[in-house]
Amino acid sequence: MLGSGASGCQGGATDSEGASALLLAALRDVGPEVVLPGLDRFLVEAAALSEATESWSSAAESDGDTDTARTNAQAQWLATMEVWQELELTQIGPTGSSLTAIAGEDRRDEIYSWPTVNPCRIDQETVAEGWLADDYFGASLVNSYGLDGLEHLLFFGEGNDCPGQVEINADGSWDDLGPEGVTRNRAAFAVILAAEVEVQGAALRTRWDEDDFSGTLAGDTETWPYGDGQTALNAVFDALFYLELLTKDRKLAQPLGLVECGDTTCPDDVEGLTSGSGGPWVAANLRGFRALFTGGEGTGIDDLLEDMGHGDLSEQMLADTDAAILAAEAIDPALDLLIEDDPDAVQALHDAVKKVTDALKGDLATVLVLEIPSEASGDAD
Amino acid sequence: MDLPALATALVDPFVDPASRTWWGGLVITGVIALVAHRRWSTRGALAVLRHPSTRLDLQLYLGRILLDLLLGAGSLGLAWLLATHGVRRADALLGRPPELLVSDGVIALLYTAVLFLSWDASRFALHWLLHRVPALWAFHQVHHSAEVLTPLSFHRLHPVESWLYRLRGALVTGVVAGVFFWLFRGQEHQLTMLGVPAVGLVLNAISGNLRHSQLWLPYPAWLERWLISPAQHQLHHSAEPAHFDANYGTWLAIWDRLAGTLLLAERPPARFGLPPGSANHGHDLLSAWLGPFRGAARSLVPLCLAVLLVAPAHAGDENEDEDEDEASETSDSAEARPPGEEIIVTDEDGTPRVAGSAHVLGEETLSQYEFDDIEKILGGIPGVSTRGEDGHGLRPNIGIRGANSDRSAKITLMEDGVLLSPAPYAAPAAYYFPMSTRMVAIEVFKGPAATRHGPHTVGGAINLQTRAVPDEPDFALDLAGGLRTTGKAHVWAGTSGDRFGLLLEGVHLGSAGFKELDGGGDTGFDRSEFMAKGSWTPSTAHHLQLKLGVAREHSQETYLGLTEADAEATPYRRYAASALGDMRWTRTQAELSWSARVSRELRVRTVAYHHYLDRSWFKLNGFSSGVDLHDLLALDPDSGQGAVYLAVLRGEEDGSGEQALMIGANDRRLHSGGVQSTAHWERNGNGWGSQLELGLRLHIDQVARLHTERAHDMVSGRPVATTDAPLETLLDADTFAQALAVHAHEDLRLDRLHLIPGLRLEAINTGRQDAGSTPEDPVFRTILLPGFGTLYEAHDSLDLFAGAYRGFSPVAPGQPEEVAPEQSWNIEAGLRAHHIDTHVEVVGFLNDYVNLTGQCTFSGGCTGASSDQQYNGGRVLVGGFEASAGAVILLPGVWALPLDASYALTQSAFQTGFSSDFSQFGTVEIGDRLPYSPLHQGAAHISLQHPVFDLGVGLTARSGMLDAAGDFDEEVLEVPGLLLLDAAINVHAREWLTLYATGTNLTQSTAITSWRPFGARPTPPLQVMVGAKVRRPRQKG
Repeated sequence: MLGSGASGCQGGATDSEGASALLLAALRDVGPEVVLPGLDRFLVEAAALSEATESWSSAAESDGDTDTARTNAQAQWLATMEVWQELELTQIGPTGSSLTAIAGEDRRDEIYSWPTVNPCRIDQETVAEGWLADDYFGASLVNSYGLDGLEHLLFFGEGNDCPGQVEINADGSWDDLGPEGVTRNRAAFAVILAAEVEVQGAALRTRWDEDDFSGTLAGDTETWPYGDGQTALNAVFDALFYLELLTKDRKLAQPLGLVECGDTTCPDDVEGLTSGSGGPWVAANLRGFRALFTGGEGTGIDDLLEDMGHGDLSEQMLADTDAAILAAEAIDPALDLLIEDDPDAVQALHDAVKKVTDALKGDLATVLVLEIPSEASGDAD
Repeated sequence: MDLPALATALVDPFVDPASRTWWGGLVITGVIALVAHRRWSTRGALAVLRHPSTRLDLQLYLGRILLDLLLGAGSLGLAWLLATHGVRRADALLGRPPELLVSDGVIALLYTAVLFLSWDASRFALHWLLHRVPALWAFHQVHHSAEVLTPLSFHRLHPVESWLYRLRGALVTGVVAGVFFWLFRGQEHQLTMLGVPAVGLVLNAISGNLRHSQLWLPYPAWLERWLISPAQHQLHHSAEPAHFDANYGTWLAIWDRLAGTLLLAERPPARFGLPPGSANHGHDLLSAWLGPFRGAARSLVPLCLAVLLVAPAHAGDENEDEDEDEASETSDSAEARPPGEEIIVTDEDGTPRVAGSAHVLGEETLSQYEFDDIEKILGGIPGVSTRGEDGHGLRPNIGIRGANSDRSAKITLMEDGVLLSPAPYAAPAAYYFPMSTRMVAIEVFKGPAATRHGPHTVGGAINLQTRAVPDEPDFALDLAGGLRTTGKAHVWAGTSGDRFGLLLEGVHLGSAGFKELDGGGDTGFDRSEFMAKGSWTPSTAHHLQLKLGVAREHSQETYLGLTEADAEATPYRRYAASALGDMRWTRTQAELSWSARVSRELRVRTVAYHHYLDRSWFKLNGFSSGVDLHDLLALDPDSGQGAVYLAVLRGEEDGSGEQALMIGANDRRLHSGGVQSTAHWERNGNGWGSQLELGLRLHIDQVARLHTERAHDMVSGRPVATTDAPLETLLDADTFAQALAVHAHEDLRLDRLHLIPGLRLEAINTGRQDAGSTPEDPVFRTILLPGFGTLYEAHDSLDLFAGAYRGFSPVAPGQPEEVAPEQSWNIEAGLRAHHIDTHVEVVGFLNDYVNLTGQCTFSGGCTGASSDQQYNGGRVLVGGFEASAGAVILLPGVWALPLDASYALTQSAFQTGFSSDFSQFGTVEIGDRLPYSPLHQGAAHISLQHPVFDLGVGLTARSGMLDAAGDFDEEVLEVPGLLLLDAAINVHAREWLTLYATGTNLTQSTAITSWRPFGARPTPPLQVMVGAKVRRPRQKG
């Protein structure tokens, strides 16, 4: 049953589960208006990333200009990530975690698993050529592949990221591979990972489109995993909370040392440390937030608020989001360096994002009678 | 010195109408004396006035006046301070009470009556103590050394006694005045005459001065049962042993009646004063002032405070002989054992005779299987459910009739009638539980009698009885060993003389554990408990006992369990992430109890106790990212980040950053102490009987929580600290609870019908201060818990009983305002039949929880900031029935076949739908069942007994349980049903030697017993123990 705050104040007909037509419309638009357009853009970029890595690999195999090819691949990886960072806000249903999301299938982790990363494992596989195994992806953990694995392959220096006691260093197999061998293997490994990113992206799109999870979210299918409109709306709300838990707290507050990180500041905890690209992703996250909040071109939470007479709240949140986007776009990409050189700038960005998330877990949660995810009940600040 | 002040002080006692020796009162006394005693002897009066005793009266009177002038009295100031502070405190805690529309006259009457009763009762109590405590008697005997009595003898007091009486007056006046002022805001006034309290003036004038006089003025016998006559007080001053220990009251006789010290005035005493040679002072002022100090010092040197409470200083040998005679006439078991330790009233055959469900497991039952795990012992009691955890029962989770089983926090747990949980009010989770190995009986109750014990009455109470000091030299030794280097050593020895007794007992239990840690390592435990009891029985009427205990545990225990798949494949596996699990605690216990048979009808047991637990549990708390360990292991993801977290737990994947393991020490220091007193007043008449129990407990808890943790990386299958410095967490806090509990429980027997009302009051003040924060405002709550039971002895072997009571479990300190205490209305009805060796009990019950609560604990699978948080669960109905039966089938020859069985059906249903952050509630719908409350539960035991050996087989079974609120056909984690087979054989090789072997889990079930704290917990594997018990042979003849 839809909570009284959401259903009782909304006009329009209600279905048998008590959800209003407007709410169902908002749920129904998440797929076609937000997720699928984003995935379409992502798949284009992912395909280009595959091509770029193949070029890099070809260059490495043929003793060609690997630096240029690698630079091109890096640029395409950044372009792909820019889109993906918007989709980070859509961890609903199959995209979401099987631990926390209803109907979660961990498909997001298959594409990008940060902050669960294991660069040393990537280096180990680089030496062992583990990617050649047929069941590499089935037998490996998500921190051994995906866009995060590609970041390490594309951006990490000549050495490896493993401690000295790890076998590749202890037995000299890394050194035996030599710089050219490392480049060759990394490029070959990158081809496999980029192709898998494309495959996983396409599979995710299938789940939302052909398999009609877009309809499932709105209860159009025979079984409704959410049971009622309010729970489904809460799943969308949980996805929006990425901005609070990951963008604000994990990507900004933790490196800034605003939460316990073991030191005064922890710049090494930023996202995109190896590629030095975390700054723009904050803006991308905010754009993803805006898209999900507004339902893209369709019906969104902003419409629900307006229908309930809280248009001012909606307008304020969108204005704050836009302001935060501007602040994020103006910031240097390498957040770790910025935290060391100009922490106030990162703090200002953090505060701009916090303005949005305060409204999210404050007025918005109250008005729509939404449950705040338990891990976000207390402000991590 | 200020002479006018001296003059005023000297004459004040004779001109102040409030004084007993006010001139007006003396005149009235004189008139009464003349009327009552027409033969007036001037010579006799002069002899009295010239007596050295009267001279000392005068000297003490003048001396006290001088001391008052020099030192000041000041008692009124104390009373005022008490009253005003009390009012301010009450206003702060409770707010101003609503204005009561009561007339001034009624208030005045009420205030006068309460003040008079309080004064009279407190005078009696202090007077009684002045006689009973040797150090106080040393001072009070100055008053009793008077060999002739005159009104001036009233002032014949040692300054110390005078000061004690003033202090008493100030305390009582302050408290009563404070309460009335808080309630009536200045409307309260005493009824007065001549500007002084009217009651005192009248009583003083009529009879006050005759109390200390040579004139024998008794009241009619019926009146002397209500008011102390002057003659009765003169008996109190008698030097005859027959009059000792009598008439401590000032005005009312009811206090003496309650204490069994009332003596009617049948004949005048032959003489007044002390027994010859017993005075500690002479007839001069200096001696009367200094002598008592020497006497008090002498009495204090050899004895502790406890000893002071006992010996009746007034009583001579004759009195003791009389007591012994009395004891020999009533050589019942209650006399032999200090009253109050055993709680359940049983018939001669051991069948409980209470209006409610009650079970007693005696020493014989406990020793047959030699179970060391309390969860196995309680498995046969219907309605008691347990949730397995470590497999050894080190920290049991016991629930009764749906009451949540987490750390047995909803059950009132007692040892020898004293709360045993480390902090039963402030943090009731029983992280300490005594070793059942050393218990001689275990009592469980679930019905209306639960109001006798608190604070947790929703489910019931469990009392563990320790070994009593033996009457004669006795000892026993029990050595056993079993699989997985499990060993047990249990020894005790004790004896009693005419007056003193001593018992020493020690138990050690250890095992290498049955879990196999990934990468190797210890998973066992060592646990030791020592207890010493020293008793002193100065007379059959008094029994003093000091119980001291110390217990230690060192175990490699963890909260981390397994995924279901791993639990099925390798049930005894332990993941590498738990490798550093290490629990250490030390508990000390000191209890001083005094059991007194005040009269034939009245028994009182008073216990002062203090328990201290210092525990540190170094263990895995979770991941740095905060991923929920319980959900992770329950969901067992094979993809995504969840699979990475699992691989790190297993040590298959190195982990750092988000996957860093947060491992830390959960240190807690818990104090629990208090004083409790229980009085049993038993009266019997023709066709009726009454057993009244009154209890009072003042209790204090304190919990200091010191949590530290630091990140550990998983490196090559082993957790490795990332830094040397421990990080303080934000969970440190100090909490406390202060509680006053009062209960009354009456068993009124009218022929075959027992009417059993009960009432319990819990007044609880709790507070909390988080580290680095200012203390939260204390929260004061009171609750009245009524109960009523009835039992009908339909036949000599058949009882029918029914009852209802209000269940309660308090709110822990520091909870949000919206958290309400757990409350329920519990009703039950049943029958109990018993005939020789056969017994049957069937009980139906319905517990209507007004609000059922859950509390987040680490043991329940909660972590982080939610730890210790309580949650409301709303209205819940729990109902069902419990049945138990037993019989002994006598076989040909010397063979016997005892068998017993029990069954319980427990249904539960939430009555509201809601969503809760408490994981054992989650999303609740109307009709959902309670977690960890099995629908069906049963046990059966059969033994083949022969004088030389006995062979027993036990079967326990229960149906599946839910891990959270819900139903079995929903997506709620389930704990499967369980069937366990145990057996034991005891061979009585010699009178002093028993060889035994026990086997538990003979079917080698590996079923999951719990999903909490984090992950699946297996049933402990097959265990075989072989042992020998040596017991001192009984003396022939």
